[in-house]
Amino acid sequence: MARKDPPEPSVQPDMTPTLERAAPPPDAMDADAFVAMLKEHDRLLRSLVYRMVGNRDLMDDVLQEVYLKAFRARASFRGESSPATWLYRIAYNACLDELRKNGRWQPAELDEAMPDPAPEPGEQVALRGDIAAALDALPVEQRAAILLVDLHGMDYAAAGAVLGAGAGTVGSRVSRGRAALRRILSEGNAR
Amino acid sequence: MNDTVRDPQVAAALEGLDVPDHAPDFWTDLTARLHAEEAAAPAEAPEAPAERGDGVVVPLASRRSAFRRHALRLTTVAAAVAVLAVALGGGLGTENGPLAPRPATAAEVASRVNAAFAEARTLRGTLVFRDAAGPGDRTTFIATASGDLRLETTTARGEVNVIAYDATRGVEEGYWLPGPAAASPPSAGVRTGLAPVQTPDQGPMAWVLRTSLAATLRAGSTGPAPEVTYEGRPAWLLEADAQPQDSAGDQAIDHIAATIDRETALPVRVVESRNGRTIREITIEGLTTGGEADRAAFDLDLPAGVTVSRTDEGFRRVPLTEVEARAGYAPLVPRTLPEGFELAEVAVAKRGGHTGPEGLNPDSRDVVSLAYRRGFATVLVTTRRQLPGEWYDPMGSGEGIVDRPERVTLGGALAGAERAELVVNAQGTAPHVWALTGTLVVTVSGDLSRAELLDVAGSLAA
Repeated sequence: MARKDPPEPSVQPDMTPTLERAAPPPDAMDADAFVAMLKEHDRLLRSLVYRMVGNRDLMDDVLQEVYLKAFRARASFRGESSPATWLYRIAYNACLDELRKNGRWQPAELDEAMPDPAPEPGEQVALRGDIAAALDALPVEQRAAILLVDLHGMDYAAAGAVLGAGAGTVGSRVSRGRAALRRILSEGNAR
Repeated sequence: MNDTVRDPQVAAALEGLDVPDHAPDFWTDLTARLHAEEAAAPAEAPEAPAERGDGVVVPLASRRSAFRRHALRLTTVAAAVAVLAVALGGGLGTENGPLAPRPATAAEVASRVNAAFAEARTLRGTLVFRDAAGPGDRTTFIATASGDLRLETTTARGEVNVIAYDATRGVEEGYWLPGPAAASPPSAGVRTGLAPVQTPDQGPMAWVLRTSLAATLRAGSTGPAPEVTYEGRPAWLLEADAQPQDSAGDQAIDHIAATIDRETALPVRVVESRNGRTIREITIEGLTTGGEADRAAFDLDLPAGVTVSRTDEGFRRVPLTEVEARAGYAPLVPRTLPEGFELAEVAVAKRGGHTGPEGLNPDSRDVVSLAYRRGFATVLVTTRRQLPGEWYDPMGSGEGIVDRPERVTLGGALAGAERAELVVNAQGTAPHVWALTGTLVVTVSGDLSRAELLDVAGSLAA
């Protein structure tokens, strides 16, 4: 039986020691212990949510809801992944909900089906020399894939688990996102 | 060591981006909200404080911890076996006649396994686990077609874990005794008011052979099943690829092979591997299907003096005719079911547990759960009120397993549904259909092929 997704390299991210630190499972935690656990993962979650929603106030609002949802749902944590992956997934879904509310998100199916489009929004902005803006201009799914893989160090399968996508799809999103971001990096080095 | 997929240039640039701090009162506010949440409601459906055998009340904590470790292990095995058959294809049938004088197809073998399980009233045997570290747990089991189950496990560290589920009472009891080197005290738990099946609500734990049956029901490949010899007996080999899941870490697998005894058509061995290296082997020793089970096996005597956590998941068994009065709406009942399935359990809960990936769905209210059984095969129909909010698949896998839902259009009570999806995963939860009607959230799940799931879901009527 052939697997559809390409073999995905597996990686232990640079931040793994932070993510995988031994701790009681979330379903065993009271409020104080849960907050302590959240603080361990908070910086990474902030870096994802901030880049997804675009400003600090929204980041705080989203993360308040993410952490509250996670606390309410902690009994459903099955221990089949790390608490970090679990939190990432809740956070990503919350970001999409927030973007939907503001009409800023469109599913990327069409985008992914296109073979090789002409300059993407990210590339156009990248030419202006602003990587943060280039990142913000990427389609949401590409942006999230880039953040999880290149910033947070996840492999494609792990990122796919957060994003609800297959490893192959994640790889495609990452490749396309990188193409846009590399442009600015090479231009910056040439100056 | 794994290879990295990071792009160092992009990574370095991204790491240079600012990450703003929270507002100064963020953690104070959050902590207050979590404390308020904690005071207002338990983490899940009604749960009583833990109580020790000596009458001392202890705080709620990891009530699942001792039993769950093993339950998870068995569930993982079950999921792995499910991969095998799902990957083989889809199709349901129970073939009892002699096989043609040619190599049997995987579908034919699966059909024979299905028939063996469908005819069984009880199952007994021992699961023996082995991994790279050597021999692991041994689990003896007794199960009935009514849903009763008893698992008794001895680990390599000398721990003893016993779980029994009485389907008639909807009660699961268990205890864990530490090994000689363990520092933890023994513990025990009792869960009452369980839903008939583990998902989407809180039911008894899934276990390998039950899910294995579900898997074989879904098998239907036209490819051959190689004939092999296992411990001197003729057998068939069913093989399939699996997509490695990140949540399994270095235990992730990409291939499964199940050995099926030719005479009994029952599974005797499952080998999970990655890149040709065995990750885990499960052998099933002494599997038999005959005889009656002693009811006492499903009613545990908990060890004296052991901490006991007690949980009521909120489901009550009622006659079908009482459902509307209890739930406030008429139950959706399938008009079409594969031959042999009969209504076995009707359970209603005013409030169910959290559902959906990561438990993110709105609260579950007025949950109705109808279980139909045929031998060890089960079909479950659940409904709950569609409270305001964002609904995800109530049976969505989450946590490292990617679902691949397919939008479908259905008839019957689900005609005109806001959303209806079919999910037949190689890993994760059982094959199912879920739908939002605007007033109800509906799931149909169980040991059915893709076509049967759609037929059953499309036949629901009040």
